[in-house]
Parts: sequence; structure tokens; C-alpha cells
Amino acid sequence: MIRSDPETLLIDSLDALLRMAARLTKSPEEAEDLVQETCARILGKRRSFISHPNPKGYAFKTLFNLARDRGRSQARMPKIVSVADMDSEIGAVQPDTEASSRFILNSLDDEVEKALEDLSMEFRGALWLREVEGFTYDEIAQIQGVPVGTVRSRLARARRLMAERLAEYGSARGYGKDRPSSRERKTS
Amino acid sequence: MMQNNSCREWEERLSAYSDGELMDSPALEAHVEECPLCRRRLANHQALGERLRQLPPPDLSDCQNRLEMGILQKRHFHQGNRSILAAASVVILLLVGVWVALRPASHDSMLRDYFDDHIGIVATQDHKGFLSDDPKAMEAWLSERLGFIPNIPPWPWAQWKSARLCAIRGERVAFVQLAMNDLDASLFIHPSVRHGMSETASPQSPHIAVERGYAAACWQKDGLEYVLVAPASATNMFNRLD
Repeated sequence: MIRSDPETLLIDSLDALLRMAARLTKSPEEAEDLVQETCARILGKRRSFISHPNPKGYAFKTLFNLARDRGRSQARMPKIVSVADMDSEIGAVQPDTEASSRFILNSLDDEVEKALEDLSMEFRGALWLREVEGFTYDEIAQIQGVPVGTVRSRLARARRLMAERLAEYGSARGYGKDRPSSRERKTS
Repeated sequence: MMQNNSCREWEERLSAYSDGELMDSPALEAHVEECPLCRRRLANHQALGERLRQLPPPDLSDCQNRLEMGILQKRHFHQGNRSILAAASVVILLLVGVWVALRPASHDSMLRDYFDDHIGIVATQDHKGFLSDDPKAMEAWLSERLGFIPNIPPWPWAQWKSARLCAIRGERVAFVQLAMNDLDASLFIHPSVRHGMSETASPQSPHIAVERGYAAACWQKDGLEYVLVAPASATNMFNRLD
């Protein structure tokens, strides 16, 4: 297979890396710094990058590792939920607190961004990689260095948490939580 | 409305199903058909993905430009480095090649070849070539084959055995076998100009080296270079080379 040089491959992925970094950090400066370090790390291992079967995934993996290391060094804990907290929820009967799809589609950008930011880095990353960057579960597993089952679990929980948080924001704005439609009531 | 436990159990599969990562799941589809909450969740997943993709991208164009510049600079630096490294490698290889071609062979490294030949012959008791106890006859035999006359020293104390040709560093050398007090010895003779060894040594004052239990005496005389290799215990004979 003929490949471009590593710099060209990296520049092709730069936009996506910056988008991801912006979701993993608190400011554009921090995002730029993270991507810059990612690029330096990748170009320091040019052969590994160029010979990798999925260079874009390799770049994201590097980005994630660095973001995680930074998160550890800054002792940034997940904001809303930890995996331990989530595990304790399994099987528990929870009230229906999720917003409806119509509600989600009509939510404000700020609300969606805030709900996303409130997720832990792992959940946020998995959701972003899937929904925006279009990576498969296998690819996300490689990027995040976890089994596919964990990716599946992270995505399901991230989605539920997002829906719940958007419902909360809607309530705060004075919108009542969407109730099940008449059809839903009929069939439940 | 409270959701039930069974819906929680479907949660992960539902999420994977909405991502197209769960194929052929009639049980899930049957459940979704019956369960309004899961139907809503499925719709939520699609809405959430759509909403995330609609988020305005953060204005990072300046960052991107700076990063691109940085990456391109690294490429130029890398290419520059590669060119410099390639050029440096060529220069180093040339220098090494020139040095190897032109360096004078060290005395000891050249002597090692003589030691090796002598030890090899002694170890194999290989007495072949032109067998004779007459140094003049051996000289004549060698002259015909070498292109120069190897003036074999007329040592009365030597017991001459044979003559042959050998190659030292690609050059033809006269190789005479003899015994000194019943100890096997080898005398190598070649034009000194070609090897440049022992310029200042003479039969009266030979250059002597010892290696692996053997001793070598080297000297020049009449445009020829001589190397006599014998057991180290025979070095007392080296003062009789004149």
C-alpha cells in the first residue's frame, strides 16, 4: 500500500484531533497544547505511525493517552459519574428521567455541550468517537485501550446520562419533562 | 413512569443496535416493538447523535494553522536531517574507504598472518612443496615462480626442509620451512618495498614480536624483507641471523 508521509497523514487528521481535544479539555489553548504534544509524540515514532494499519486511530489513541495522563496528573475526577457509581446502578430501578428525542433535538447548544462536558472523559470520548468521528466499537476499544464490551457499556451509559442531563436542563428552563406519548402509554 | 429491570438489561444491546454493531437480534427487536421506553431510547440515541454532530465546531482555525505550520516545519527539519545524515554517511564511508585503502598495515597485524601460516603448517605437519635440504636449490625453484630472487640466508645451523609459495595479503611470498635446533621454523621472504615493514631492522638487530607462544623476527636486507617464525623458546637463535 502506498502511503503519504506521516506529516500529511497527520495534517489530514488534525481537524478531527482538534475537535476531539476540544471536547477533552477546558479551553482552546489546552486543546491546542494537547494536539501539539500528540503530534510531537507521533512524529517521534514516525515508522510506527506510518506502518500502522489505522493511522487515524493511532493518532487518536495517542491523543487519548496523553489526555488521560494529563487528567491523572491534574487529579481530575469524572464530574458526574464514575465507573464504580455506574456499576452500583446496574439492576437498580431508576425513575424515568430521560428526555424525549424531540426534546433532545430541540435542546440548546450550550446544554448539549454542558451535558457532554459533565460526562467522564472516558464516556465523553467514546460517545464523541462513535457519533461524530464514526469509529467502530473495535476502533474505539483500541483507541481507549479497553475491551469492546467496555466500549459498549460506556456508550450506553453515556447516552442515558446525556438524555437525563438534557431533561434536567430543560426542566430548569421551565420546560416540563416530556411524558410518554399517548401511543407509549397505550402499549406500556 | 418507572422503568423496569428488563429494560435496563436491554440498555447496552439497544445502544449497540442503534450503532449498527448488533446484527440479527430478533429478540431485541421484539422487545422494542413491545416496550415504549426502549422505543423512546432508540429514538433518543439517534437524536443525540444528530444533535452532537450539529454542535458548532469550536473556532480552532488559528490553532489548526499553527499546528500545521509546526508539522510542516518538522517535516522540513526531518528531511533536512535526513539529507544531512545521508551526506554525512557518504562522507564517512568515503573517508573510511580511503583510510582502509591507504592506511599502512600495522606491523603486528601483518605479523599475525605469518604466525597463522606457520602455526597452520606446524599443526598439520604439512611438508609439501619443493622438498630439499639445499637452500640454493630452493632459491632457484622459488625464483622461477615468484619473479624475484629470494636470497635465502646461508645459515649453517639451519636444517632446510622445503620451499613453497604462499599468499600474504594477496601477494606471493616465498615460504621456506626449516628447523632450528630441531624446532620447526618458517622463513618468509618477499620484496620489502611492497610491504614496507621493518624498514630499520637488520639481521643484526631484527624487530621481534611474540604471539601465541611463537616469536617472529623481521628484518630487511638487499631489498627483501624476511620474517622468521619459530617457537618462542628458539628466540636465542635470533641473534644468529646475520
